Amino acid sequence: MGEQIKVGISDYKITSAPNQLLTIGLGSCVGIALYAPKSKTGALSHIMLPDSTSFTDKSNWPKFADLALPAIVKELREQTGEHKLRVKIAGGASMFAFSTESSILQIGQRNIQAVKDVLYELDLKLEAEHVGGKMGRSMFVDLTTFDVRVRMVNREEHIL
Amino acid sequence: MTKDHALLRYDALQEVVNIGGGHAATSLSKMIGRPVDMDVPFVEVLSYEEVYQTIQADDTIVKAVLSELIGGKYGVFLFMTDPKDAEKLAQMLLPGQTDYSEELVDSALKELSNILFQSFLQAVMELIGKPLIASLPVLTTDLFGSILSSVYMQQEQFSEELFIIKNNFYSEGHKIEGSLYFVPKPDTLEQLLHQLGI
Repeated sequence: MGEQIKVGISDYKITSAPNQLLTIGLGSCVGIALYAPKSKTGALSHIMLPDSTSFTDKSNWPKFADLALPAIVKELREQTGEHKLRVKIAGGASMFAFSTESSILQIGQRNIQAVKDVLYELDLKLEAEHVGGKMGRSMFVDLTTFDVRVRMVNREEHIL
Repeated sequence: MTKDHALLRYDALQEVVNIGGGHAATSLSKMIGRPVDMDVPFVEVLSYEEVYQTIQADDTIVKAVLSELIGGKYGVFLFMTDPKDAEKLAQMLLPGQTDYSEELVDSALKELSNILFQSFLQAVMELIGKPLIASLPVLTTDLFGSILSSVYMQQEQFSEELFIIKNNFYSEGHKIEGSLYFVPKPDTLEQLLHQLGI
């Protein structure tokens, strides 16, 4: 039996089957599941913010999409020797939408876009997503099959 | 800043939250027709992990009502309670109904939260002599972790360390509980202390 390895906010973990990766409470944050299929090794990243450029303190790099993804992809590729990775994402909600707020200010949407942009730059194809809306999500990544279960409150579970 | 000055600022802030929370508790008590107790205000800086370990687990389902201070960049009020407690509050607020649907419970909770926010604000306005208006509340039922992180980020609080400001209310012993949070925008507390002459 594998372990369930929990990824906190602004953090990431890498592990292999039969372990599972999970992250709880993605609101406007985005969870990115990366998978090296031959070695059944995966990473789960829980980013908070799209872009680190306007921040002076970048020491907690797993918090930012633009810093986290290149570093995690590199680590996973080096660890497994696999270049081709599978990717699924979830999150990026606007939990409370006030009418006064423009979409430019909505951090959830900006997180989703930033993650997609960085994945494109890294030459990775996004295989499946469950993003946006007003509901929070939790992600459970099975590293044997790379099924990603997305759980929400008062809604059907969705499998990516 | 000297240590004494920092302490003074902390005490002043805690006192404002105490006065606002006290006002809100009195209103809540009137609405539900029974006594309401309040803890000493909680004013502390904690990491997300510490919040989830000491205040509430990230996977707890809560009902959360949010209202934004309008007319400036100030912050939001957030009232959070367990869905079962929300139902009990609705029964106290609207006694004698035959069916407490989730819709009815949510409306009652929004109304009650609105009055809590308004009474808290009323007390703060008297202290600083400046008008403040809270927007109509919005409600969601979701995980504590999703709500907390999203609200802090929406208020441009991007640090992993959260300034938690909250009052806990109780009624009937600890059978019904609710927490009123104030999540400030980055400069709000400075402005508030300035208004108070500190």
